[in-house]
Amino acid sequence: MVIGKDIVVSLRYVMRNQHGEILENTMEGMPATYIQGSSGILPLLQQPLEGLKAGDRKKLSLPGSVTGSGELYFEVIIDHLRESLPEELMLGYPVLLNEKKCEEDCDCYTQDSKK
Amino acid sequence: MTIHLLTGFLGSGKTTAIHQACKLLMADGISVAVITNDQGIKLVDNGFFSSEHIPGRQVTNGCFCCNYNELDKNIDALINEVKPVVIFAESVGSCTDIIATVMKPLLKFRPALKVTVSTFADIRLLHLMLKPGGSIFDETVDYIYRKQLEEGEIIVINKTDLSDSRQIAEVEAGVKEKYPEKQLILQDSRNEDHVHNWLQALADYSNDQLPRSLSIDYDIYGAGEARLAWFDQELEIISSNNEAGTDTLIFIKELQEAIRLRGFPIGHLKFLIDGKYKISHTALFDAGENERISLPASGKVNLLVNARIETAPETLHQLVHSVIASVESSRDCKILETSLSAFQPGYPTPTHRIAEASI
Repeated sequence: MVIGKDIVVSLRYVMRNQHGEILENTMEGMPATYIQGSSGILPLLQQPLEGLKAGDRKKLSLPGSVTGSGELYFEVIIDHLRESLPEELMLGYPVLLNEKKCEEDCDCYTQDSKK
Repeated sequence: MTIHLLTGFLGSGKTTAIHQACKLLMADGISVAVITNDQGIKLVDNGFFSSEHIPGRQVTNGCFCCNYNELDKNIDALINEVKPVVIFAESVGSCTDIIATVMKPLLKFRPALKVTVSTFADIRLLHLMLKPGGSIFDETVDYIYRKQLEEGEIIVINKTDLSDSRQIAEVEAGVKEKYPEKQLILQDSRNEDHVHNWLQALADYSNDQLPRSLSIDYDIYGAGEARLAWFDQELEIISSNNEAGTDTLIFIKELQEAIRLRGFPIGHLKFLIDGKYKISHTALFDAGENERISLPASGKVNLLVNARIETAPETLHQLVHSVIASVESSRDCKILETSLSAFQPGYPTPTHRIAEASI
């Protein structure tokens, strides 16, 4: 699966300002999740992610004219991709957490472990 | 000065409402400012606040409640820079318990302040949620969603323009029945009259009687995030007598048993051998299945361990270390750790929490 329209994308990133200072590092936080093609994150950031798959990395930047302050630089790693649900497409944002969405051949045994 | 706190899930329209409210207040000559709180990659679209000359600050790396001091610093900075009469503070979508952890501490440490709390909800999502068995969330996320509604003194049922009159009536009746003491506002945040109506409700709100702090289970609250913990490790198993495959299977079995013995709840535990053979946790405990796994004789095997387990990644890493040592000593092999990546979202740990009715 690759990033394309209506795919739910979970990504992690390091965000830096124009001086190279780290503003945010989600490697130690929640992955950001959005539906490709929705307003979850700026289209300018979504477009370069098209075609990437889980595990891929990409460097992105935003000019100061867009951020309203200084330039921003992102080092992004794609954490997880899945199809969106009809409800999510209606709402325009993802609602389910990743761990419910393993691959079809996964023997994820959350239920068994609770027995 | 007044601080209007907004909670509500991702997509509930908080940013649009704040934007519209700021424009209306500024047109009346009232000085405003905004503090946003979300992941940076999502906040960048709030650049439009500055393009509209609305002074703004951001709190990233977690919610207001766990970053209260950061919120406090931003309030001071805005007071120094623009002397706002009104600050809108928009909390991250997964945040709740804001009355006990943000509103009451603000009122306690800044007694001259007035603080309000509005919970925003997308009317279409509420409509889905109010149907019997209609939750589309993971159960822990569902818990946070309902707690947000429970604690909002003012519930703004937003995006009514995206709903029809029947749906609006059903949602209004449903929310009134579940939360009879709340003030409900039906709103299309792009409609000036609607936003005026919300602003009026905020103006009428008084801190004379403080709302109840939520009764909340932090274990459930934190569970949704904790379940997202992951641990990926690549190992290289090297055998001088071409038994790396067998060594790998023994390593996997020992690691699984070690995890099982410690009772860590496992969401997902998978092994990928040489990029070809997948082994899941359940398969390994099935002896029959185990026997069916046969690997060709080889001097070297690459193993990827992919785990989503409810424990700290460091704990799991230590466990992997001890199993490596055990397998190396019992088998004639060497196990190298070639890469490791892991993360554990933090358990919500508010800077302050005032559970009592008064401050």
